[in-house]
Amino acid sequence: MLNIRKEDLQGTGKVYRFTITQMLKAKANIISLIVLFVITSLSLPLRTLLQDFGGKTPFALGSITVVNNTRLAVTEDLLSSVIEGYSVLDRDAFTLASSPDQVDYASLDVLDAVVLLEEKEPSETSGREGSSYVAAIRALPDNTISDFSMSLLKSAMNDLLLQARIQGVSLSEEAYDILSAGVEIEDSSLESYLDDDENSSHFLLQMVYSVIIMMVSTYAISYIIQTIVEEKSSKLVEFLVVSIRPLGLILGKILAALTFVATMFLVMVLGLFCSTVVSGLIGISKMGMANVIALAGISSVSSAGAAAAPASPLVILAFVVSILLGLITFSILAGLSAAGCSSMEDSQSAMGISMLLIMGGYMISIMISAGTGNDAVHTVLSLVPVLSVYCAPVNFLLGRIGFGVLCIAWILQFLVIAFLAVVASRVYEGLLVYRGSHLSFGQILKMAGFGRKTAKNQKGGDLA
Amino acid sequence: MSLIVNDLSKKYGEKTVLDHLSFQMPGPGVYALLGTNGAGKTTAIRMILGMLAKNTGEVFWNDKPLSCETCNIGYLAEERGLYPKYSLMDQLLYFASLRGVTGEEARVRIRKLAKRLQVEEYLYPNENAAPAPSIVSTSKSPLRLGGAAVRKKPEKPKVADQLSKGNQQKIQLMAALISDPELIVLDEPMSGLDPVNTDLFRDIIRDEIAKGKYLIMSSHQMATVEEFCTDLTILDHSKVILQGNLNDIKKSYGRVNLHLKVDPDALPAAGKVVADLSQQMNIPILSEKEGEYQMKVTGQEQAGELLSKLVPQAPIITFDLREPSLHEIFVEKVGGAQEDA
Repeated sequence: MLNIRKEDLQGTGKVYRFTITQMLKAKANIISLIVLFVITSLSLPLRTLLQDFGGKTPFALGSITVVNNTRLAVTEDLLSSVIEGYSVLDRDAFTLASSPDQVDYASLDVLDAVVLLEEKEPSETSGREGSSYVAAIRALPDNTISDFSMSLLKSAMNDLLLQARIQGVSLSEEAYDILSAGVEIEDSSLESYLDDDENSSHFLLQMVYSVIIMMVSTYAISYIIQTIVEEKSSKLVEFLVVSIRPLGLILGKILAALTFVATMFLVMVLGLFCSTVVSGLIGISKMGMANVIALAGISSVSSAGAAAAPASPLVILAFVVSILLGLITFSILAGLSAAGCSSMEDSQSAMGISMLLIMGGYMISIMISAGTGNDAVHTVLSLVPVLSVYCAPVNFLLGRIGFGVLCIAWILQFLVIAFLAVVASRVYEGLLVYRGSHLSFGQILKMAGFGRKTAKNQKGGDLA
Repeated sequence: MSLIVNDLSKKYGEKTVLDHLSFQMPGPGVYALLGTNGAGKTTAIRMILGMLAKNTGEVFWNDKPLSCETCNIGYLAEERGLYPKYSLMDQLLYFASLRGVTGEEARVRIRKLAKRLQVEEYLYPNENAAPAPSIVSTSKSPLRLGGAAVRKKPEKPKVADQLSKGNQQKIQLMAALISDPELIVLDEPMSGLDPVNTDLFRDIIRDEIAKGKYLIMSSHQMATVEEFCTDLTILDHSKVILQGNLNDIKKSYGRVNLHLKVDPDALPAAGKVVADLSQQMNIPILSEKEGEYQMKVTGQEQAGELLSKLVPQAPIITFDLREPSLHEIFVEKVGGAQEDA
């Protein structure tokens, strides 16, 4: 059935070397790689510096005066111990005053905020029997406190009052935790109870992985289609196929395009690495790289990863094999579609079937992952070819499927690849010398002898 | 070595595009595939080279199925092209490597062919430039610009897009010949070439014939084909309508083309004699211009009779009896076949 001989692949290496060399020499591609590197390198520092701080320095706090207007003993030592828990906050920015009268109003031009710690008496309207404590943060106009710093400040003041209260009644922290622990009434099924805690991180993991697959595959097929159609539209194919078999010619091009996409991916990773280094070098962070990364949103990835099992070699293998199988599937499809084109104008329509599968796999994997906790559904999704590329490794990582199911998923995906290879071996030769309007995937399948034959479609990749 | 094409047929659905083509090349030489547009020449070539699946038939080279593994093939396709944006040198080195010619050997061959086809300026753009004096700064003062002190910026390697169609065709011929192929297939090699380049291509073909290569050529330029080919097939509407050795075919037609020239000073009396005799003997005059006549006789006997009658009445300068040209045979055969159809 799959009649691929050794000579069919002769010259593949030469095509690969020439194609990848030309891709790396092309100005547009060089510029793309440089731009990609620059963007990824700057993404972290820029985002950290510019985003969500309203134009203010991200960790600036200026000068804060804490006025203790309560009966609690808020001391310098207590304030220091609390502030030390927030590595981003600068202890020197805080001064402590026991009453509003002690506020240094002379330094108002450098003062950013006054925090009034107050005690509220019980009132009928509040419904509470005891006192309540308030930390009123009065930020002054034109203050330099960013939103991020403000949220940290609120949290720090809450901790300060908590610690003062604990010390005030000579309670251990543990005893306080027991006393202050709230009570919630839950009304949910056992299944959702077990899943709820992890659902969001699992969804995040699936989404991040699916986005990576989608990005890499889309890049790969666009380059494959471009390089094949370029050759066909330049009318060179007929000359080339007296020196090399069509399968070797296309395979060399597919491998070159995949290598280029892998290069792009590596450049991106290198850029992100440089990005974290640059972020550290420019001294944005007083609180360490972890907080910088968290600010830049990378935390979503790391938390998703952390939610899963540790990255064992088997898990890495699961992801690598699944990604490779997916890329091979989409690449052969793209190669087939591109070979059915005669001009660069057709290249957009050639992306159709591959993009449909890539986007379909992406959407379904995301939606199902968000919508169900049913293991049976996850198992089925992991076994369906193409969808398995998106779902199987994630489900394996999360323990929803075993290694046996994963292997079956790989075998099924491999069978799809073998089928596409059979189609390719039957029709590439005819497609490469074909000139005419773009052939749909259905027509290509008919040419290969699958589906209902028509009078126009004969064995051996003939084209009317 | 020999090439055997045996019973090639091709159908697209119900439509036959090549109908049982067979021929042999037992030795080196040029085999011509002729035919009108759409007759099946390019299809035949593609099938011979294994690009198109065959409904019937086989092609053998030295008793083995012809393929890029069994024969070193050079091919100039009818639909030819180059990568528009890649350097010409890179492309030629790539084509050479696909044919197993690599490294210095490939560069030597490229240089040789570039010189032969007069395209060195595109492949070696910086070689013919006059050497400029190098700039050596011996002082701290800025270098003086202008005049001979400025080094000419090296030219970038040419890409196919920068070449005229004729020059691109030369590069394509280089690519076809770079592996010193045993079998050279040229599909309409002269189309689109100016007379100077046509002569250049002819010289190259002559060289390859002299080297003992096997050539299959398809062309509409009958004079070119007639000059080179020893055997031919004429196709019309996918069918073989004439096949064989060119000389034998011509002989079979006999010497029927008469070129007659009478002394122009004897006109118009001599002209009247020619006209009267042609009418009497039923010899059609195909063309006439200032005492020169192209006539069609039935054979040497009729020509001799005409000559004997003419000699006493008109001063004859030229009396030349020739075989029909390939062009005439082609037009007659194809025209006849179309009338039959």
